[in-house]
Amino acid sequence: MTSSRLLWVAAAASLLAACGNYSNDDLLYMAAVPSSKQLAVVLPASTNANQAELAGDTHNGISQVNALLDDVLGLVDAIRSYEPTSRTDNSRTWGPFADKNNPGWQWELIVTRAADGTTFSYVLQTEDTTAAMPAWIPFFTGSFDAAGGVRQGNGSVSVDFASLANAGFPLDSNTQMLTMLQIDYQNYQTPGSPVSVTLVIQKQPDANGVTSVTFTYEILTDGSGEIVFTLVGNVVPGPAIETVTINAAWIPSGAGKATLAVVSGDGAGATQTECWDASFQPTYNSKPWALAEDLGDPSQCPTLPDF
Amino acid sequence: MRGSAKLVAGLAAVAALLGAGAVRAEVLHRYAVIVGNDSGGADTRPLLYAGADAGKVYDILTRLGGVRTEDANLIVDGAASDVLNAIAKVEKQATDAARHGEHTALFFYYSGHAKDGALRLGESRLPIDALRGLVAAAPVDVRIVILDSCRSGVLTRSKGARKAPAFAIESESPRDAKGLVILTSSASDEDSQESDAIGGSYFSHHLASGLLGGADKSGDGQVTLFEAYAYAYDRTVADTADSAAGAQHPTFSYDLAGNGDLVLTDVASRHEGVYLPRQAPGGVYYLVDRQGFVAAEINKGDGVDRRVALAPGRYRVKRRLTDRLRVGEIDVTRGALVTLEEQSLHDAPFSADPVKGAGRYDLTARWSIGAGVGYQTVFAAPEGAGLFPATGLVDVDLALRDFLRRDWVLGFDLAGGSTNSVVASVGAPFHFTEVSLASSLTVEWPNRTLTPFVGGRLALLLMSRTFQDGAFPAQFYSTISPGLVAGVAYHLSRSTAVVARGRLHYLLYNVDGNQSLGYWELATMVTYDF
Repeated sequence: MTSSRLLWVAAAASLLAACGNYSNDDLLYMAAVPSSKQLAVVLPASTNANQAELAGDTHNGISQVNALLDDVLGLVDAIRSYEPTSRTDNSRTWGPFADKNNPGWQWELIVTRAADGTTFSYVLQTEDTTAAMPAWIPFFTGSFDAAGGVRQGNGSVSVDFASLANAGFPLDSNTQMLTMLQIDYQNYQTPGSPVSVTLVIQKQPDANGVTSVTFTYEILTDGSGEIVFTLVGNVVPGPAIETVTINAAWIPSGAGKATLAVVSGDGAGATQTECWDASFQPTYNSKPWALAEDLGDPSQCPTLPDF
Repeated sequence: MRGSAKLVAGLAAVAALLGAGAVRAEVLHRYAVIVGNDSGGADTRPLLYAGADAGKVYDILTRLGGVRTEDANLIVDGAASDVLNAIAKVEKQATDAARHGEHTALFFYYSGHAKDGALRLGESRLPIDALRGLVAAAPVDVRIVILDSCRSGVLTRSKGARKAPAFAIESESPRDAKGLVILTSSASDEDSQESDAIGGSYFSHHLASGLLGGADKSGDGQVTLFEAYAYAYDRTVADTADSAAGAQHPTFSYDLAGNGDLVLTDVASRHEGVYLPRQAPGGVYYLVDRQGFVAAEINKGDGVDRRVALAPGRYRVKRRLTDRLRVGEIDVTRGALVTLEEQSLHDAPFSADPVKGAGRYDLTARWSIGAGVGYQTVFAAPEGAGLFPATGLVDVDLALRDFLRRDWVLGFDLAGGSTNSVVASVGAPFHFTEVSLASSLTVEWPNRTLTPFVGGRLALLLMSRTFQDGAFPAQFYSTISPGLVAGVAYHLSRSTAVVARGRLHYLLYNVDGNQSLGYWELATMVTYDF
């Protein structure tokens, strides 16, 4: 074999041997899609069987938010744990992957980078491969603008449960009542605030006639946080549809304060204010429609940071 | 190239005379001091075969020369003090033997560098005059000194076919002494030469072949001093006549008044080896051992037979004709004299010459190991550095020297390292790990203290990283990376060196598009030569 042939063989071997998923660009595309952990709400758990009423409502609401994030973003997290299936100069594609739990369905995640280099859009879509005319159905779409620099910016996500249900996708019991989930978040505008999120759930009316729930929350780096639940439904006896809000805030120890307000509908103007300590034991309660439950005075409420 | 001027071959005594007119091996109590040293210290280039030559002579003398192993002293790569101690030991033994009425002989052989009137044993010196005085004064009856000395160790590859002059016996040599025989490998104005083709010095190679039976001109199964010398002389002159360093003429001086010729080896009594029958064609027979080394080179005349007292083993046989080779194989079994039948040989082209077999290099190839630490960094910042962070490495090397060619080093190395870094574009901290497995081919220029080297290297790189926050999956990359290597070894001793080395490599990266990156490495390590 001549020297030149040896060189060609060496070059070919080098090319063949060069392989892997070692990529900084992949990380940019992955970071554009929020993870469930990134948007999760963290409030110290309660072991108090007699915790304050609104603290319990806050825990329940947070659990609902986190469970929903796990359901939706957990799917993206799982896909993202693999290296991209294909790469182009301005996109990464994962899949299609067969859905092991739902035979006949497959999933695909495509993340695209805009020409500006900092704006990413993505779509997680599914397809019924057994359909006569298979077509991709967008389920999870969103965008992220890294306007704040490294993994800092604002983004939005729309999760379209209704389209999946209409296409015959077998949604589980946790999500089959939902029609749309809208998440808007930013993690750079407020110093010291890792994330600020507005999450709107559109759903079919439940037993209380609730058709939408909006969660707005902000978590600070020290562990304190604030969350506002807004429910629209017929939750107060009477013919009108009410808008009810619970505005809860806490400090890192878990001690907090919440205010329930009927904004409109039957009982409009009614408010309840409750405070609790680090063990979630109520320290103050003002509940005008159940005076017997009143407790303590406002001075026993914790001092909350500005949100 | 071996020692310049007349490196005297000294000799020791072969003790007994064998019958009338010849000193018979079996009645002398023979002692031997056999010395080989590849290193000549400052201003000399290391030899390749001096130690091997000494080992060969030791084997022949203990197997065929009547020297008992307990009376044979083999000193390879030793110092002058080791030689003096061995001579002193022999003197004591010989004195004891003489008290018991035994005739004694001392056989002294040296292969190595000589310069400025002294044998060069590594960094130590042994003046030739002092050696001659010591041997001459040794309390033995017969002394034989053979000196195959080197000064420069220049390698000679061409073999001459020119007619050589007849050898001369210097009966008036100033080195004469009673009961003393001296053989030197070259004349006073000549260098002695080594050859890769025969894996030894010309003189020692032909002397050994003669002692194995090739020199038994009388056909009596015994090789005498004159026969051995005459054979070594003829073959050495013929082989070196056309060499770059010029013809090499061994010299011989003796004073064995009243003793006649000496029997050096008795190849008949052992009855083991190869027998070239009378009817076998004349010519030079090469008997090549399993390592490709020419164990014996026998110049057989037409109509005569030869016994070659080779040790048991399988040998390839070659006889060179003008247009082709005759080759074959023969098995020498213990206690058997195996006849080489011409019919067992077959024709072969010159390209099938067994002497040029790869195994030949086994004789001189040597391994070395090394371990050290290094530092590697990628050139193409920021892209390259952002991908593959600078890393400290622990390195283990294995090298095979003089395997493919003299002063060529075939190396294998395994290195590994890890470090922590951050992907700046996403602020993701990660732990980086790299393992490389590589082979290199370098050329070195050995010197006494510093040996520079340069060559090429081909590395298989395996790199991976894991992200500490778990937000991203682990990533890996592997590629083959060609590069250059250069450095210098500083010799702390004959076997140990400290090496400073640099590498420059090409790195193909093709995940985020094709990128030609490069990296460099600096390392220091300690090596040990076996």
